[in-house]
Amino acid sequence: MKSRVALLCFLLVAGTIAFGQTPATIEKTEISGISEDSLSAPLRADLQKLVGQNYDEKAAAQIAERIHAELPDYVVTSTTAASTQPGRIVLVFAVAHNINAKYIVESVDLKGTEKSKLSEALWTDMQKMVGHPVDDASADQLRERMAAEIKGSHSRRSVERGSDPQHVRIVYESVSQSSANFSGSGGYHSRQKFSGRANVAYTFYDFVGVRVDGFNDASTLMERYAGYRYGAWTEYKRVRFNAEYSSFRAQWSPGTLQAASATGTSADLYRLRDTIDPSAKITISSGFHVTLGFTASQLQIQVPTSHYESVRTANGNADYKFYLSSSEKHQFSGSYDIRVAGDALGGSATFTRHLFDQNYEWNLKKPAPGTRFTPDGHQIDFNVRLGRITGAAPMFERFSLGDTSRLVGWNKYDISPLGASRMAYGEVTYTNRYISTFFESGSLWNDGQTRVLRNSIGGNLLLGNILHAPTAMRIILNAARPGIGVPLQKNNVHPIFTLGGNI
Amino acid sequence: MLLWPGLLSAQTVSVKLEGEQLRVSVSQLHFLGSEVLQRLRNGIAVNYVFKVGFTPNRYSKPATVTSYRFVISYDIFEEKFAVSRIEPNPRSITHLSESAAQMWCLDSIAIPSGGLPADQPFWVNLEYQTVEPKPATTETGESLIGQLIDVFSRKAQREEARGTVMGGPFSLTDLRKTR
Repeated sequence: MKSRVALLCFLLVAGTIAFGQTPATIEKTEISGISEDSLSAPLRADLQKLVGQNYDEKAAAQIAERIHAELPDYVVTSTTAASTQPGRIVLVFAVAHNINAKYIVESVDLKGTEKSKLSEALWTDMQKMVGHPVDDASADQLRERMAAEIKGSHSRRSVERGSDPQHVRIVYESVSQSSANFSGSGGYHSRQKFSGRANVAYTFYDFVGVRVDGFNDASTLMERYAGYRYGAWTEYKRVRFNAEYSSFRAQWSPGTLQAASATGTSADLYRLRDTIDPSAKITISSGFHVTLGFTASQLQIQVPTSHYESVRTANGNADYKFYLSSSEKHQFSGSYDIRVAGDALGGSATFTRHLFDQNYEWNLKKPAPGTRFTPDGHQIDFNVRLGRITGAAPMFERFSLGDTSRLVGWNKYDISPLGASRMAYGEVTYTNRYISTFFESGSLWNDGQTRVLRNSIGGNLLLGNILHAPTAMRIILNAARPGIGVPLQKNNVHPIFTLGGNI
Repeated sequence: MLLWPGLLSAQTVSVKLEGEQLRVSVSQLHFLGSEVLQRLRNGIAVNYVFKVGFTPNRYSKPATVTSYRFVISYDIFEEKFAVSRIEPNPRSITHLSESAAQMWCLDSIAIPSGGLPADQPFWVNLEYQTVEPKPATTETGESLIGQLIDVFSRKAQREEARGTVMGGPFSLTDLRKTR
C-alpha cells in the first residue's frame, strides 16, 4: 500500500513539473556576429516568422543550418537569452568563426589589476557585453584599450565557463612586467632659447620603480635651472608612495637680475636649489586622485653673503578626469594644488599657494583607437588656470606666463621678470590632424598692483601628418611642432617662434 | 615561443592527383603547438594561413603560391574543435578532435596542376603560420624619445607559431600512373 501511495505521489509531482514546463515564447530573434543583410530575404522573413511562436529547438536548428548554407565559412549555432518578460526568450543565432560565439556572456571580470585602474568608459563598455553572445572583435578592441590604459603591463583575454550552462565569463588579465623606459622632450622659444629634459626609468613588475631625470629648463619657472632628479616609488593597491631628491643650479636672466636689484630683492635669487619631496598618491577612482606630500628645499643664496635658507611646505593635490558620455566626446579634467609653508613646518618662508587648473576638451569626432585624430577629426580645448599666493613665496613657487606653452606670443621676462603672486589665464585651442591654432589671454600681478590683460594668437604645424611621413619620422616631426605666437598689442608686435612644447 | 623548425624532415609529404587538382597531405604534422592549444582552450580563436607552392628543386622558392586561411576555435563546454576555412571555397566544420581538426585543414589543401610540366620533377613547399590582427599604432603622444623607442622596440602582439615542410621529388607522369 505504501509503495502505491509513493508511486502515485511521484506521478503527481512528475505530471505537475511536466505540465509547468510550457515552452517559452520567442520575443524576438537576433543575428550576432554579422549583419542581418548578409542573409537572403526569404531567410530573413522566416526568422521574423519565429517571433511570437513557442521556442522549438529543432526549428531553431533548421534555421541555423540554412544560415550556414548561405554563409558556409561561419559556424552557426542557435542559443537563447533571457528576455525582460517572464516566459519569453530572445532567440539568438550566433554567426562567427569562433565556436564560443554561441555562448552568452555572464560576466566580465578583471585579473591582475583593479577596476580603479581602468577608465569608467572602458569598464562600462566591458560590462555592455554581458547578456550578449561572445563577440571576438569587440572583446579584442576592449583588450587593446585596456593595454593602452595600463602602461607597463601585458593584457590578455580568455573565455571561461560560467556558473550557468551555456554562459561564459570573459576575463581580462593584466600581467605586470619589468620594463625600462627612456624618454625626453624639449622646446625652443625664440627669446628664452632651448629647454630640455631626459629621463630614464625602470619599473619592476608594476610594484617598484626608480627614475632619473636630467633637466635644463628655461620654460617652466622664472629661472633657467639645470640639474638632476632621482626618484623611487612603490605601489600597494590604491596608494603609490613616491620620494624624490633633486639638485638644480639656477641661472637668472638679465631682466630678472635687473628687476631684483631695482626692487631690493636680490636676496631672493638663489644659486643652488636642493629638494627632498616625499608624497603619497591615492587613487580614489580611475579618474580621481589625491596626492599628499611634503617638500623640503634648501636654497644657497649669495646676497649679501653666501648662506643657506630652507623652505618647507606641506602639499596637497586633487586631480580628476571624466567624460560626459560614453562616446568620449566631452572630457573634463583638472586639478587643484595647494602648498602651505609656515612656522609649524620650520623653514624661513611663510606662504600659501593655490593653483586651479581646469580643462574641457571637445572631440568633435571620436578618434580611431590608438590614434589621436581620424583623418577628418578635430578638437577644441578650453583651459583656465587661476593662481594665488599669500605671503612671501620663493621664486620657484611664483607664477609666470609667456613661455613655450602659455601666452606664447609674450616673453615672461618682459611681463613680470620676478614672477607674480596672482595669475589668471585662459586659452582656447582648435586642433585638427594638421594644425593647431589658439587664442590666449592672461594676466600676472602682485597684490595691490593693477592688472594688465595680455592676449596672443598663434598656431603650430603637425608636420609629420602634413607630410604623411612614416611612423617614426611622423612622431619626430609632430613633436617638433614648429609654431608662432603673436602678441595682440598696437605697438612692438614681435612674434615668438617656438618648437616643441611642454617639457 | 617562436616555433621555426625550418625544414621538418620527420614529416612526410605526399601528393595525390585528383582530376586536375594536386592534393597535398603531410603525415605527423601537428601544427597546433602547445601555446596555440592554450589559447584555443582559453576560448580564443586562432587564425592560420597555409601557403603551398611548387619548386623545380629542393632549394629554390616557389614562383606561385596558393594561400589557405583557416580559423580554428575550441568549444570550451563541449571540448571539441571547430574549423572555418575562410578562403578559398569557404566552409566550416564542428565537433572535431584535435587531430581531426588538423587533418581537416590539411585535407583542404589542393592546388591546380595546370602549370606543371608532365615529365619534370617538382617539389612541394608548404608553409603555415598563425596570423594576428595588427595593433593600432599611436600617432602622437607626450614623450618624443619614449615614443621612438616604443616604435623601434615594439613587440608583435603575439609571437607567431610557424613552420615549413617540403617534399619531393614528384612527377605528374608518376602520379597519373598511380591514381
